[in-house]
Amino acid sequence: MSDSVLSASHLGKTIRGKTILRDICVEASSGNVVGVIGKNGAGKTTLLDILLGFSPPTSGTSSLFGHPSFTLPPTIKKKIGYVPQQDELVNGITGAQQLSLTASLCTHWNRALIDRLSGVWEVPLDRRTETLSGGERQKLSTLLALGHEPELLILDEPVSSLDPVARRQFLQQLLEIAADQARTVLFSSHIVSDLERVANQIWIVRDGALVWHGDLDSLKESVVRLSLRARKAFPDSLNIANALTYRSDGVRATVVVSDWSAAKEAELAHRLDADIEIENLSLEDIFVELHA
Amino acid sequence: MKGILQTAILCYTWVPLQRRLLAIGAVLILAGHLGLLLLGTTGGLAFLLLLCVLLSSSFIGVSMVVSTGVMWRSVSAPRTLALLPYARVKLLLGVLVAMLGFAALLTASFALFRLEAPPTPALQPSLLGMFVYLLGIATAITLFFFLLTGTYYVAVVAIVVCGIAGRLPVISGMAAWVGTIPLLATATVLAWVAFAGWYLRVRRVAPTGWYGWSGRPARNSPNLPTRVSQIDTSRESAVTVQLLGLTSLSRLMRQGWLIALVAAVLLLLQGAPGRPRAVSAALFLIFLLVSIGMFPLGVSRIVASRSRTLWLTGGCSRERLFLLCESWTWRCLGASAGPVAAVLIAAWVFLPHPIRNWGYFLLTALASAVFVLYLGLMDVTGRGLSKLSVEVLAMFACWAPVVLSSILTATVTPAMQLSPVAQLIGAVVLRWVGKNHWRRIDWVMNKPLRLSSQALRPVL
Repeated sequence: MSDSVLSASHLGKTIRGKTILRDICVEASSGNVVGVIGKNGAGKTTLLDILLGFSPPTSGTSSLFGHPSFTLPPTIKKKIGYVPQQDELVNGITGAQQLSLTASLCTHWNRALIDRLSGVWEVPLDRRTETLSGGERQKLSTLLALGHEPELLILDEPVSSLDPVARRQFLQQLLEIAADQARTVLFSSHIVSDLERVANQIWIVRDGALVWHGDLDSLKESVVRLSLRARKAFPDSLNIANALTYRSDGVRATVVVSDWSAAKEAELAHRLDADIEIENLSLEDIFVELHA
Repeated sequence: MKGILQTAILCYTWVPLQRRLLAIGAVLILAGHLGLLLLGTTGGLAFLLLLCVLLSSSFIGVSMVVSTGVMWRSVSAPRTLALLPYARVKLLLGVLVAMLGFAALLTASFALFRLEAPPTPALQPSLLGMFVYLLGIATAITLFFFLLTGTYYVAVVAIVVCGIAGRLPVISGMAAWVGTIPLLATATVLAWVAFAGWYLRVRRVAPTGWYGWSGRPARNSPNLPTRVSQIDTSRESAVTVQLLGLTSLSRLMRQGWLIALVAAVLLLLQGAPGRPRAVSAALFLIFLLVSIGMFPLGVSRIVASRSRTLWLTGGCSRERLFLLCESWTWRCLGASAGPVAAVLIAAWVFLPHPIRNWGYFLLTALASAVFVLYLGLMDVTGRGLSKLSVEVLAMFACWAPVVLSSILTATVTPAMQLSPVAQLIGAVVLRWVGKNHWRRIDWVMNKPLRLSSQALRPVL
């Protein structure tokens, strides 16, 4: 039996004639922490919505725990925790009442865990939800998603309203909880440094398409910046396979390439008659280069 | 000046349905005028064209008046408004311009209609009287919705004040319609001045809790539980809160009884049998009935958009969610419209009739409520063209008989009697369609309405 927790095959979504997602093929197995990154409007939230079954895909299929997302049975839904980008808290009640309401919708609820986390995260449960700050609302939303101890936790921009210290503490604890029982965590974020610190797999979404998915380490090994120095001026185009960006200044040039391997280095040095320096990039640099 | 005009335009185009009504209404008004120009203003076809112009103007105007109060509070609430120079003044003047436009549009249509239509009590007043009266009505409804979406009890007071003000001519024995014009004009001006005085000076306008259905927030209490283990809540109440927020059925019923009480008082103030029917009483009751009729549309849309959580966390299937939302929308309709309907039926039996056929109007309003309930529940897949045509047709089908019979004619024709039946049949069809649509409900297309203060910046 495959340990694939979620998968999408040739997934596409068009809303009112506008293509939001196209041909997404991806899979995540249990125990992984997957980070989804992309610019605003790239399609991250729509992708998560379709994976969770909130919206039917226009083309392709998606499944969670082997079941089609759009028709998930209750037994599978119990295994999923979800933190939406815009929280869905009920105004006018306290945080504790909100937790209680969600608990009563679930067949299993770990009260001890929620009591502990609400204390550690300093969520003021005695205050009405509409008086909470953005960060406190996000933490409360996360508590709501964790109470039934889901096997798959999907978080859409979970830390966007937190300060750097709270963000680091929050993510660390979230991962500890996930690691406890080999849970799968899928979360989207604009804060690439967070993703780099906690995710072991990365999905990069650009203009509705998945331009990269795989291990973070592979990505960082694969995408490199080449600094070239030749004896004579470089031509307008270097004709390098998988080049993402190319800047030339006479006898010096900088190229960012994906799918890089050591074998390609010698071939390129020989062809261009140039010295090559290879620089590994941070995830943020890679993200910027991919969107350049 | 630009900000004022843009606010006025926003009043007419705030919600998608308004934009659709505006687009279709504008075409119909243009076609009506063109037809009248070519055919003249006499004859059967000319009468239909005039009716087309009048009804189109009414739908554009009424949808504007009803939505403006909600919109006005929504855009006045963000704190960032204070950073924009003269923002509140522009909003206030923009809304006033929109109201003047509404009164002018409908007066022009009435003027056109008066060329052909048989004289009825509603068509006796002068054009100036009609203009003043419509401006007064528009002001009352807009301010009513502004207040209703903020503090509920203030809204009840507003209903009473507006209603009693509308009844003043009847109470004081002013039979002649024209005699009320200075009174109405003064009342309207005073209403604007008083409201502007408050609106421009108040430090912060409270945000509307209506579209989010947050209800009246619970008061802070030292006894509120702070640990999860201290609370026990049933699944049933969790489902209710998830779908309706804090707006419970008992709260709705309380509101319903209060509105019914106000209606009863106003009907009692109508006086002894034999008094001339007052147009103001008719319009007040029509407004009440239209509110009852349109209420489920809003409820069904809200519960549909809020059902997403129950699908995932509550483990409900889409089919089950449809039944759940249908059930709760019906309960809300019963809780709010039931008391009003009961009082109106009692008044129909025991009190003099303010409008001749209003038993029929009540039936039409309730049939419309059922129709729009399923219209709202059906509209969950985000299909643009079909949604547009169905909504517009439904709006016209629902209210054309009411407007026709109340203002233009004194009798209910056999064709009009079929209207409630047709709407109930339509509701059955829509239920079947809705049930099928819910198997494909797309919550990306049905998100709860959220307003951003940023949306204001291009306007002001």
